[in-house]
Amino acid sequence: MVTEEIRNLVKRKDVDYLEVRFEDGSETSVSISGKEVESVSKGRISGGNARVLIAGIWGFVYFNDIKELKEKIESAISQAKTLKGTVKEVVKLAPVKSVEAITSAKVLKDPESVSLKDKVDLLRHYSDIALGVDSKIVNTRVMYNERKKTLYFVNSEGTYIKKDVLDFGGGIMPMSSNGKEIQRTYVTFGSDSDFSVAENLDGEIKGKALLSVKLLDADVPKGGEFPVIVDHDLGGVFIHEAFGHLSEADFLAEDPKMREIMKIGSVFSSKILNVFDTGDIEGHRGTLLYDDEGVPTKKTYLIKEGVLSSHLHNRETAGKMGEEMTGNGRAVNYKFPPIPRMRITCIENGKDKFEDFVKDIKYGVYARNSFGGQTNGELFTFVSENAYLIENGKITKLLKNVSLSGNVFETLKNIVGIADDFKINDSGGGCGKGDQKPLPVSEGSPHLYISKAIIGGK
Amino acid sequence: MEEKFLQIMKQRGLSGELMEVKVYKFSVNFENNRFKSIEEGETSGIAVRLKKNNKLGLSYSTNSEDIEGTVQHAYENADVSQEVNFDFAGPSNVPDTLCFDRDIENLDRNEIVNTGKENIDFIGSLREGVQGFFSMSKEIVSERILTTEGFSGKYNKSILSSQMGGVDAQEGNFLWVFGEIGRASKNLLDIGILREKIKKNFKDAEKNVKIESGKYTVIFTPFSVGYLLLPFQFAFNARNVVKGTSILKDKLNQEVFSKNLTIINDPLLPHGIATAAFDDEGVPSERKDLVFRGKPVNYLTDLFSANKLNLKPGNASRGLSTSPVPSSANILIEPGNEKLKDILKVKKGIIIESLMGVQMGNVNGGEVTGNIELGYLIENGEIAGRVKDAMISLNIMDALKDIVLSEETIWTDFLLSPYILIPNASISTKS
Repeated sequence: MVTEEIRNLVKRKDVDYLEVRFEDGSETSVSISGKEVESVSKGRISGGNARVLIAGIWGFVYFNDIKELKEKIESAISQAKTLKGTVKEVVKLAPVKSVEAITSAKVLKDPESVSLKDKVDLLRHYSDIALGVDSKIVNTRVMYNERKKTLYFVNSEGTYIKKDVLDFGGGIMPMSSNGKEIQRTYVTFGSDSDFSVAENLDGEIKGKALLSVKLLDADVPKGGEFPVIVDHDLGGVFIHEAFGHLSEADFLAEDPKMREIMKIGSVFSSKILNVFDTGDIEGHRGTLLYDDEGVPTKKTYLIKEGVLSSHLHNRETAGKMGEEMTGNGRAVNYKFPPIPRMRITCIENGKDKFEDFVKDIKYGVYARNSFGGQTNGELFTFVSENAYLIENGKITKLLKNVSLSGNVFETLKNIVGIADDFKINDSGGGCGKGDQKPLPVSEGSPHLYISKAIIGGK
Repeated sequence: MEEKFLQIMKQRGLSGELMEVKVYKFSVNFENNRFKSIEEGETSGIAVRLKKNNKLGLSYSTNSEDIEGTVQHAYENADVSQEVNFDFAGPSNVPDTLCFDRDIENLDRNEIVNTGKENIDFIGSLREGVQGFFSMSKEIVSERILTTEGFSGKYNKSILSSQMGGVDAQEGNFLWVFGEIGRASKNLLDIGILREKIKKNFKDAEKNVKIESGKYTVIFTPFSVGYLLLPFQFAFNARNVVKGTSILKDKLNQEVFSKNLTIINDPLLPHGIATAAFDDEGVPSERKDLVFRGKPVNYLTDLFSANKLNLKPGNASRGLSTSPVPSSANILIEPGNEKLKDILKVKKGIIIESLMGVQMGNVNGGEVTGNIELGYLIENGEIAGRVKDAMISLNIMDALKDIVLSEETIWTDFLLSPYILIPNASISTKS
């Protein structure tokens, strides 16, 4: 696909930097609602882009047909030259050794080894299981998405990388109703290499369908600020949403106030907290050897024993901030340039016991499983699928519609316990930043004990 | 291309639909108070839906020439898909629409860059140390739909949109201000509306105030009314009505909301960003009341759900790679009788500018719960300051029973809305 001719095309002397990415692949998706298979689709996607840097200005042009590459490179150069000379601070990309590499994930069970019919039958079976649990399960939403593509990367510094990439994920959402309200729960799966994570989910789906019915009669929480225990799923979403995004250096590099707030060495929490982002744990959504700028991935500690120790960089932000590259330059597809994004973001295992957290709380909330979250750098919100009230050291009533919120910096300081039951969660969706979604990522955490967070309630 | 598709379908004895989309996008981006990048892209593709023994198959490709291969993929998928009873769209007269403006197509790179420079300087002047951002993009979309049942239609659309805002990240007090507008007409895109909003937001947030948990009067601005509409996206979706998961199932023509509330879905609104002559299944567009004086009166339909509920289709929306589903177009909320200045004379209330996390909550169930990212306390008609560390929680089925709407409206992107006052919403805060 990337011929000698293309490699020669990017060797330009009249630019500071030039890269070409191209992808070619296929997508499969299935959507089931209740008893009906709403859609089964297959598609072929190919497209690429040329990105060029001249005197601090980026030109970026994307296209479908590789035959147009030569003229697209010229367009990108012309775009970048538009305001040449108007930017005082010239961007210097952090230097990286040029590489030639061909990579692919170690596939354990290829989704393509399972026929489309068998996949649809499996998903229908899951939907039927949920529907059969109770007459109050009025519907299900079952989704499955699979992407297989070959990515080609070549730049003006001599790097050439070909990556075979697999990513798939899905979810089963049982929906209950009593005629007045709707409740839902969610079972998700995802991987970059092993279809077996989508198999044998019957028990989990039954349990979640039953929970969705129970939620109809659950109490709504009392609103206010309370001690909260979050499970590994919500702990992962918290660290991704609340702290991971804040660590992405495009938000920091040119803002002196943010750089001061996120200064390496600042104390962010008590010594019990360690947070890292990595691409090197095999088998997860977010596993990668090289990022989309050809930078090798590595494990990056964001917080070590409570102290801020690194940011997440692409080459531009690492260059601007004079810091080491971390291999976080990622683009969701050929229509976008690589920006600092997370991979597998985790809170490291602690030494505490979940049971001791419960015993310690007089009145609080145990929030479980996540429907996602949102942050603006300082404030965050995430929504739990289900929750329990904790009264006098015991887990008591089931709660529904529980949203948690807080200030990132205060909440990190309010983490007073970290359990020893770490788990990584590969959800079926992905991370969104601007228009770039869904990017495959995963999160991990043990149970966390947060001394106070705001619960939205009546 | 049309002939080739029809010929292949005829040869194979299939009924089907071909969608062809071309998108050209050009955007100019300013970040951190400076010019950052220019991005340009041109993409195209085709999607085929077909029925094989009444089973529906779907496929798509970014190679628009590959009709044969795309039909074959859809044909293979149909075996494992479901039977449907609807027919693809037949011949019809598509209405005239105003959604293409040659001035947008011809808009020059330098003019956009200059608009950006002017606005990024404006944002920088509003507050010391603010990091401004601005982007403007023009998008030219061409969509064509063809069916074996005899529909053939094509439209071109041009959209000019702009986002601007700024962040002031002071330790312990981040302030994000943000706004977005879009039009299918260059002359109607009034960036002045955004500038005014951003300026007022920064001014009103000069100091923070503490509030207690409790019930408050809240006022949603036309820029935040979209959060109240999120549950409607589910509730009016006729597929959810078929499945029994819409909170408005069995509620048509009943008094559910305040008599002051009328919501219209209008895909024919001149110069709207969601304006189109036909929907993504080739059904001609029509204006439709969703709520009329408090009563839900229509659902949003596609061919599948319209067939099940014996209703007219016409609200299908899809991307190239996704299946059509009912979706709203331009939404108009009818204004009320109160002047905004009178609405703002509340003794104690909160103005909501933006929320976080609402879409992850139980919007299917009508819940609007989120962190107040930007909101202000009003006391005796005066802005007292910014409210932080607070969550709002309401359910539209209760909260919209008693509302007050302003005479004044603002057209943001897909939404033309007044200010909406809700007298009794739960607010939870830090102790």
